[in-house]
Amino acid sequence: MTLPEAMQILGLAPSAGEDALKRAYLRLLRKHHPERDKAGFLRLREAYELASRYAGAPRAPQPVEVRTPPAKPGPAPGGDGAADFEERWREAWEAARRGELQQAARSVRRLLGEPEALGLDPPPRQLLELLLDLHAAGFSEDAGLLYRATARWMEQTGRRPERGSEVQWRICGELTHVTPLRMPHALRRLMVQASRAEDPTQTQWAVRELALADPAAAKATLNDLARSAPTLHALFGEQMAPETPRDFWRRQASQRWKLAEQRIRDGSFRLASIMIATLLHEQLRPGITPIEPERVLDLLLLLHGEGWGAEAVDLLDAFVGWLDRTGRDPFAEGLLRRRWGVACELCRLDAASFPREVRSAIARAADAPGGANGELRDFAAANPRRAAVAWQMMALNASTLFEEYAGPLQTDWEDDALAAELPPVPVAPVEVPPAPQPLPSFEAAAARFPLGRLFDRVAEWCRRSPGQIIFGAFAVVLLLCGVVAASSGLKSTAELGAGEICDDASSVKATGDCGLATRLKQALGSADCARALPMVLELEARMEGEPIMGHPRNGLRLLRTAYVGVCLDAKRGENR
Amino acid sequence: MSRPPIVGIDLGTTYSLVAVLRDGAPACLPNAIGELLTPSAVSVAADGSILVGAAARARATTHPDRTALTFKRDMGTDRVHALGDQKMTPQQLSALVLASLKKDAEVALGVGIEEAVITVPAYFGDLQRQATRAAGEIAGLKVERIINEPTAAALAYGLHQRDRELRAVVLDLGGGTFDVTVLQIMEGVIEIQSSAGDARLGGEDFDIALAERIAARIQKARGVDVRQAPLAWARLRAAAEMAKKRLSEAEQTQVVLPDLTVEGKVMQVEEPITRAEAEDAWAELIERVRAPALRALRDAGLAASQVDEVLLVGGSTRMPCVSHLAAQLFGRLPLRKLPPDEAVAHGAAVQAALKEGRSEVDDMVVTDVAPFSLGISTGDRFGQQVVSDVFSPILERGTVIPASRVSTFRTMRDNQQEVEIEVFQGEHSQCSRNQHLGTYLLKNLPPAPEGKIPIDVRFTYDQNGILEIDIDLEGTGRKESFVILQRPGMMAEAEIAAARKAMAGLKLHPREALPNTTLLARADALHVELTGEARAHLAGLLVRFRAALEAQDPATIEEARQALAGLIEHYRRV
Repeated sequence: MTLPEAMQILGLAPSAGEDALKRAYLRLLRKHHPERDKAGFLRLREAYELASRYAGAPRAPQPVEVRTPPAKPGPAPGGDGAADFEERWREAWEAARRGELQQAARSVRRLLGEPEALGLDPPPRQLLELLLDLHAAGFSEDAGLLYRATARWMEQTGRRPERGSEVQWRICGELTHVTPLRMPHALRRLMVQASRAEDPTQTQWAVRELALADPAAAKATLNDLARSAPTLHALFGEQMAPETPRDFWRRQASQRWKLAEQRIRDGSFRLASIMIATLLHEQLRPGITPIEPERVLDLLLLLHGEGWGAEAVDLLDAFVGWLDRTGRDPFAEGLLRRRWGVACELCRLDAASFPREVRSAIARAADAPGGANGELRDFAAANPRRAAVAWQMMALNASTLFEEYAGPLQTDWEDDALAAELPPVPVAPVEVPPAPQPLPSFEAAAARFPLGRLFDRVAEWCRRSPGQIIFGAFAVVLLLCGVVAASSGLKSTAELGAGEICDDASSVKATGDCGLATRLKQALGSADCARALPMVLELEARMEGEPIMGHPRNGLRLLRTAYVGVCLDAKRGENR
Repeated sequence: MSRPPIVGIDLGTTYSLVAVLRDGAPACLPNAIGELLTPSAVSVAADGSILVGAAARARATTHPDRTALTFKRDMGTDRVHALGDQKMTPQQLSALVLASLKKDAEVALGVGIEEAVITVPAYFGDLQRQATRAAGEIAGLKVERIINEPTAAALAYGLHQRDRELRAVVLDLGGGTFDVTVLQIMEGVIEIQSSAGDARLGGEDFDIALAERIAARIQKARGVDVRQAPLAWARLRAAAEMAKKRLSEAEQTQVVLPDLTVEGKVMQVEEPITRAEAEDAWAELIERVRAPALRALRDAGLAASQVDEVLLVGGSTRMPCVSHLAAQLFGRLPLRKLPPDEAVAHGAAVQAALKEGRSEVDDMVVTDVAPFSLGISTGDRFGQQVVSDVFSPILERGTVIPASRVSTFRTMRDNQQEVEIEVFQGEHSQCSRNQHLGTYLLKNLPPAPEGKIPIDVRFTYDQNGILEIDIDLEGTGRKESFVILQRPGMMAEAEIAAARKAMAGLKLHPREALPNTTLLARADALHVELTGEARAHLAGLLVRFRAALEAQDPATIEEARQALAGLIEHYRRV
């Protein structure tokens, strides 16, 4: 059997990975059942094994984790003489230093039972350390046996623990009594750590975390501790007690709050605002969640600053409700009062029609009265019509802001001047369908926009803001990019991805663009440029003014480049 | 369904069970006394009739010389058990247990049973498998399939987990054997990836280790060796087994044996034993769990951390030290998702259903691996020196079966005329240390210089344990093939027929009398253990029950029976 034959049996392309191979093999097992179709099974198995050898050895022997070194036979018993005994004793501790804890424990245990051990003079501290090491490493059985041997030896020789280590001995003894299986290893290690620490209470918080992560184990261990480990129970009993529903709720809420703060730091203001709004809505009993009003206000301004007007309104709603319920008024005076006023007034300006640039500038300059003057003046000079809209909206809805910024936004603009500034209305040259001359060549366009990167960026944008009005249009752009990418040899996932997103777009009923998207997809699919062009133009018209990738013109440029690519591709096909 | 169902049988060292698939779920069937676990024990009563199961087990302490236990460990050997004046082979004893299970299943299902799937430990060699098959035939069962116990446990587990994708390790520590299986469930296919085990490690060994520890104490204190007195030793072992079970729950217990008689000396034994002490006695046994587990992982090419679930089956995994070791080995808490004693029987029932092509398991695909390597004996030459007895595996252990593998060998001398192909099973590098399965003589090779004739030997091995060998003399177009059927230890048809006839001649204890006989045997065994007032109380109830049996009045029998059973149950719990 050759590799191509094997891949054919498995029904896979030669490049299939290990996982695909395995899944194909397992699926085909139903057809070639080992009990019913022996010959078929043998062939299938041979194909699978052959193919897997090329995909990377699936059953290559890997080193098996050996958690404990295999027990070696201890030194021969009956080796005479004190010198021999001392030699073995030293070896045992040598092993402990090397980290062969189990072996060391066994040797020491055996040696402690021999008569020569009565003459020994090791400090109990040394034994204690070995015991604690064993517990920390999870060898509780060995620790238990060694503890008993040590206790016997200390009793026989009349030795006492060193001053100051009595508590440690007690903890060590108690650890021996607790059923090893019921006590999570991490917990045991923490308790060893606690016994070694200057201040055992320092490990309490870590015990609490563990107990919360695995309440069942904590409960079982707590029972054990209560029964047979008074010292440990006194130290950790409280931490391991199961939490009340109120505690649980408080912990959950504070975790979510922390997560939201993290999102703000990451720059995902929108997500953060949704999370915090949910928290604010849920907040029925005041004082449980650590809601910090100043942080919410910060976030509000940040949202405005980024142009997320609608989200800011949602957050404000939730926030005002929360303030009402809790009866709080945290922004009574000073700078906070001013910021609160700016945030509230900005929310009164409709997110869709109020210019984002203006909103952003005002929010960013919230702390300084008139701080946005310069920026707004520039804006008004560049966009007289939109500045006029902003002026009007502020005059109607935001009196404080209007007083502050009416001046810089005031422009006198005329229709003619404006018309010159608007992008030229595209002429629809239906009579020259394949490639209008003034359009840039495909190669030039492709050079300007490395398509792979372009595609990635658009795809990311689409994923970030589903449900937007222009979503369908974007999906089309994406498809175009995909087609272009495919035709220029960038056969990545582009094509597939675009198709998928376009399908998604068709399912978004609200967009209104889905019909167009679907039609365009069909036209492009059959490389019918003449039919596609009017639709492209329609899309262009709709996308005008939508800031895509930071600039209103980017979307248009993108769409045209993609379109040209498709046209050129179709033309090339004809020539051929 | 008109065809009688195929049953799944777990023929265990200490207990056996029979199960079938009912409404998509496996269920064990109760025996004559209403219990699911039938002890694998055979005893000959004073009147020469043969007792199987709980009654025989209870007689092990009262009549150790007329009772056979743990004969599964002797399967495939020619050891003969003497039960009173009767001599029985392990096959016959197993056949008696199988026949009793067959009868139980027939009563429970109300139809005749003719076919069965029987489980064996993965490390049972070919010889022991054939012996098990023969035992089935003697019992009048057509053995549809011999499957590995760990595979069965994995099947029982996989039946419920078909929709998941995971890797699991099944640790099966039963009464007499220990098995480890690594399996993967993916796309609804249950793949056994490797299995390993120790055929001589089980709960029984833990009992003996504990009993020996106590015997050593008794010997130290009183200077008598309990091990030399069969009756006392049997009682001590039974007591040690009970103590072992109690130690799974409690930290400390006592072994109490009143009136233990050794060499005419009567002793009152009352030995306290702690769990730590018992675990010290078992340290060596527990350590033996480690190696097969690591080997199974290595064979599957996995690290311990890649295992998603660790599953414990087999009664002996109830011991905390075993689950503790499992937790240590795999770094995760082992689970007990299946009833530990019944899992293997459940799996056998699933395999039976697969064999029948039942619709409940129609979408289930299972692939198993060869538990041992198969190969032939070859020689090698180093300069002038010729080394023979080299084992050349053709089909390695862990190969997914059914499988077909081919290796090419060459002649070793000029003009060699014959090649003897000796087939072995095992892992040792020397053939003489592996198990011999068969020999085939390839004659009349064409004359040629040494090494010039390539001989292709192809092994084809399937789930039924049938090994087909095809030999292809390349260049000459000659093809020969043979099937290994006649193996040592395997009984010929005639022998089986004779054994079946012999069994028919045995006087079996009537099944309907079994509940009462079992109760009597248990009461007798308890009578040995008790002293004083308790003993007198038991004796009174026993006499009443015997009298009721004589009088044959059902109402009185039932009344006396319940009183006696209640008392026995009470002492069992203590």
